[in-house]
Amino acid sequence: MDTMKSIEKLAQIARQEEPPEISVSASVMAHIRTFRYSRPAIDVMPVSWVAGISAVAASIILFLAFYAYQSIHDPYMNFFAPIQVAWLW
Amino acid sequence: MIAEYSQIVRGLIATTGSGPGLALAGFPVAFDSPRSTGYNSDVHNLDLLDIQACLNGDDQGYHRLLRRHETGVARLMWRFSRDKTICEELVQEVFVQAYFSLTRYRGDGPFPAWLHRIATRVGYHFWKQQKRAAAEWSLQEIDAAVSPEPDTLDPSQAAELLHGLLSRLPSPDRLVLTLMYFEDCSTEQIAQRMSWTRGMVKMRAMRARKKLKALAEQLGLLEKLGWIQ
Repeated sequence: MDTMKSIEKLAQIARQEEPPEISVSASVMAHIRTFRYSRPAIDVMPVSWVAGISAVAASIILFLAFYAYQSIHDPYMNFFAPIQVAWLW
Repeated sequence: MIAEYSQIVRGLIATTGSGPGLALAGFPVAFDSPRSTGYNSDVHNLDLLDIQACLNGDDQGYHRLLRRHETGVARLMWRFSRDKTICEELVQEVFVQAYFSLTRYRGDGPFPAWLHRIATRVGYHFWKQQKRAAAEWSLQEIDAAVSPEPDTLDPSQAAELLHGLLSRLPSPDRLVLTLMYFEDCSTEQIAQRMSWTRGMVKMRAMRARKKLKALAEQLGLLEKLGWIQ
């Protein structure tokens, strides 16, 4: 008999095998319930606090930055200011 | 029991129509179900109702689904591991994965086919995790599996022998031949289960057969089985 034919024959016999009785319904349901109830509820409060504090800090920085920007002077202004005045004369 | 339940289901379908997300009505009556498991439109209706119940938070729905399909899944997982404890774990893994993916089942095909797809992937992943060397069979184990009388080869012995032979192949080759030999799957079905192309499955099957043939000849399988004419 050809090797492949003998393997086919072996497979044909093997397909008739009855696997052992396996019952997992109880364990699966228990596993699902455990997973569902043991899953920690996501608490958004700490995240909200961090987000709030960050927002306050950011607004303070923005406020200070705005006033800092307002007070910035052009360093070349001192050179050009007399010339502008001279043109007026 | 199933017939009575089916009648109730038909009544429910007639009165309530289809539930959200699942096509309870209008499904094809003739399915390309995995093997001849007696799966028909009545069982499909029961499956859809139980899935719907489960999605609505009724665990008993999933329990009924589990009871209905655990034998089929166990049968498939037995091809991946012949250790009963491991097989149980694999079946459990399949149903837990299926539970958490249940929202992705569209209901347009048979539920067992969807389950077997998950099961095949779980089994394949299990093989890949295992060390190939550890799963290899020795000649002595083959001798132990073969019956002293060649013509009276038991299905269990044949399955043991074939499982041992296939375990010496790389995981993808082993998967293709396992599904072909044990589950009688076509190349198209294997391709669907694994999301591979059909050409790839055909190529793998051809190469795997060559490897298996060489292996069987190397181990003297025919002589051991007494099938040499």
